[in-house]
Amino acid sequence: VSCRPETWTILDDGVLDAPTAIARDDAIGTEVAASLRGTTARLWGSSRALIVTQLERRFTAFQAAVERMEAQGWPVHIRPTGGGAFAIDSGTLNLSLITPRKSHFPEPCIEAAYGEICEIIAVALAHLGLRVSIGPAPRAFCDGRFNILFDGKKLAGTAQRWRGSHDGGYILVHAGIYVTTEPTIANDAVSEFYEAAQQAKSFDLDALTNVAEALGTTRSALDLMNAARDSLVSVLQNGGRSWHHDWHPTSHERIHSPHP
Amino acid sequence: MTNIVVPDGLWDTVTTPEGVVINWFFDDGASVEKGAPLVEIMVAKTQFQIEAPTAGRLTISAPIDTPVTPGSVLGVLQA
Repeated sequence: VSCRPETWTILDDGVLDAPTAIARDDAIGTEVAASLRGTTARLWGSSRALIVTQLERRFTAFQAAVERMEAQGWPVHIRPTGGGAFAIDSGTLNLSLITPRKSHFPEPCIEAAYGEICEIIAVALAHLGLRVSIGPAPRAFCDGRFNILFDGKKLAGTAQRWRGSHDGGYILVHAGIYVTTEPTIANDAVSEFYEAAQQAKSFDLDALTNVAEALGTTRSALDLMNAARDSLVSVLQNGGRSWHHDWHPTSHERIHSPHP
Repeated sequence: MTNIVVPDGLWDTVTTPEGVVINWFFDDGASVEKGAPLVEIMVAKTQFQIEAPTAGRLTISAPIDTPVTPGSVLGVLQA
């Protein structure tokens, strides 16, 4: 499946509050759908927040869970993509790929869209020296088939939103990459949210990691975040292309070598 | 009468057997215009919106929480 644009318009929004950051994706998507903006790759960060989906919002005890988490410094916000609760903070680097439905991914291709964002991230992390794979992490929160894994541990999660029609809509593919987000803190927050919402869910801390931990680096958080951003921008400026010409988005657990 | 259908082949049903209806933007019996956002399904961590294929009066056959697969009829629009 070949569905990459030749060029991405790259936006780096820096760090925003979570509601603003989430709303920006929709605003940009609306412009992309109306052909007012080209296919866009957006990098953004956010203050600490739990971002949940429409499914969590329907929990009977949702409001009680929101109040409990907010009292602990975890504001809860609803995002328009699928999955489950996901914790983000200043150590999380978010990548949103926003494309028109009409001209980018051949429909239907939910899997191809995941494959593209995973490949971009995998190549960017390879530039940092990380060999990652793509696949499920069943013991991690917000699991899916298209996580970025290091040594089987979830390092980034992905989700999508398809809005509008084939002739006038947009596709948002989002990834939250844990660069320096502490797995313990994130896992505790998500676990407590579900407990407060009276949902029987249990997650394993050992199923999570972050880029800093995976690299075993002593670089500062800011330095590592900047390096991750620069690496993603570099890959995106190259059209998201990698040296792995035999890549296929359904090839789970494929290892991305940092060397061609 | 026009069916409101989950697009064929929208996802790989081998790895993800089914999705679920999570939201209707209109009540049963409402009059809707062509192109209006009608219904959302969630599958494979994707929230997928389906628009009204034509104008008409809405009859919902797959209420919220109904499992769906590609090709599932979610309702009809009667002109």
